[in-house]
Amino acid sequence: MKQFNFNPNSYFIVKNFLIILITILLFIDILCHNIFCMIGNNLFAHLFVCLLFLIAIVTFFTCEHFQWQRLAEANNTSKALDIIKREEALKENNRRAMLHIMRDLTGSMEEIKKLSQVKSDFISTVSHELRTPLAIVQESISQLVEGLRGPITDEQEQLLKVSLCNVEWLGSLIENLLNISKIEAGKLELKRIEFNVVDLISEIVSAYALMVKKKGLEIINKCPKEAAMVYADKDLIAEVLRNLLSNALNYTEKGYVEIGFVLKENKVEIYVKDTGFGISPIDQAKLFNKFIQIGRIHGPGSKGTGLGLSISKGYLEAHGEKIWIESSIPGQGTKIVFSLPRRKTNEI
Amino acid sequence: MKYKILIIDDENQFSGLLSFRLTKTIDCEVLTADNGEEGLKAAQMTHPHLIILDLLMPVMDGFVFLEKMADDITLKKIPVIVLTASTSPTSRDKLTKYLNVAEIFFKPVKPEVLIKRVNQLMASV
Repeated sequence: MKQFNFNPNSYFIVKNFLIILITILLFIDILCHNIFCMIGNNLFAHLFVCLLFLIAIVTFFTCEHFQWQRLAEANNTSKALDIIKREEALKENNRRAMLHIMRDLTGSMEEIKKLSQVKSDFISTVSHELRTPLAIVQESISQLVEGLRGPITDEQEQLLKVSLCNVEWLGSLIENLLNISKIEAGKLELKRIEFNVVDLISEIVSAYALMVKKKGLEIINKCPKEAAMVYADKDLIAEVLRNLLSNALNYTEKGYVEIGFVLKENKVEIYVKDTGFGISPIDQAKLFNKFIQIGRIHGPGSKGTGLGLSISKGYLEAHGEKIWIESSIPGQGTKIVFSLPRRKTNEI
Repeated sequence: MKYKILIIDDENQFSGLLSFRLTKTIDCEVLTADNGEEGLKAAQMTHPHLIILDLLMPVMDGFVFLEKMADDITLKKIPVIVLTASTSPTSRDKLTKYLNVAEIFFKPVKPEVLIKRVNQLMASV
């Protein structure tokens, strides 16, 4: 093993992996030979050999951690380090070697933070500047559609309604972009309160009644009547529920959407289940990423912005909670679950 | 009695459109002002039943306007609907101390939502 220097940006090469292994083995062998002579060829000696061997292997594989600690101590500061471990062929004799590259990212981290701040400031300024003209466009079209500015033909009304739909979509896109930038900048301020999940769910379910009826679907509220108290930001959780319900309704053509929860020791696990298209395993992996709309062609439409699940995940992570796909079978439906901290009645 | 509504917004096109909608859907008289300073003068002269206020404006912004309103005994009880494009949580928090702010809407707000709230506030005048 050769280590070139001990600067913050440093690297070391473990030349020929096999040689080192053999050296360690030989070392153990010599050592053990002596021990065998002393204690005899018994089970304990064999165990001892195995243990030593194990220690040697662990030491070898974790050697960069020691370097990392020494580096941090040497600079007497906490450091953000990136260690890349790569197997490379050495030029001189074409043998394999393990190359470790250490990079000090402490400076870069500050830069990344600054950049992220610039980005979130930019998004909030842009969304403010976009909202004003959007409000003017929306109001103008609404007045025309409503006939406040005189009669219009059916064809004109149709066109204007399409425009209005797209203005609304743009509005929600701006809103969601703002939310994403808040989550990414860590500026999300939680206003946690104690509230009853049962009440919130039935409130939101009733808001979707019309949409459900129009699509010829059914929405089943499986919540019991007894209160289930949680401690969270009610507005944000309401948005998570709305995102999950509208996704379930958008991606379900026939059948039902079910919502309910399971009480755990310290958590309430809320689920939304549908009998919709389902999500393939490949799509499941990227489901919570930004701008993901499964099976969706690019361009605006009534379906959404592709940010709902990403935002929901951000909101729940800010609470220290999780959201996951419990099951999804293409053609048979999806079940998505998220957890909330439970507040038991005797703690109130 | 005809209701009087004052719109304070530096975006003339928007206040023009809103004023048109209000006069068409509610039996009211609408006055408009370009900034807080003009709005304050108009409010002191006409004593409207409701004020629809933007926040970010030149000369005098919405916050200073609300502060001046609170200092004026004849104005401080007039209900205000804040209608703004600025959604920062700090401005939302700052508004909570003004008791006459009845509602905060962010642009673009759905016309039916705004009109419903205006009607509610008018009914309670």
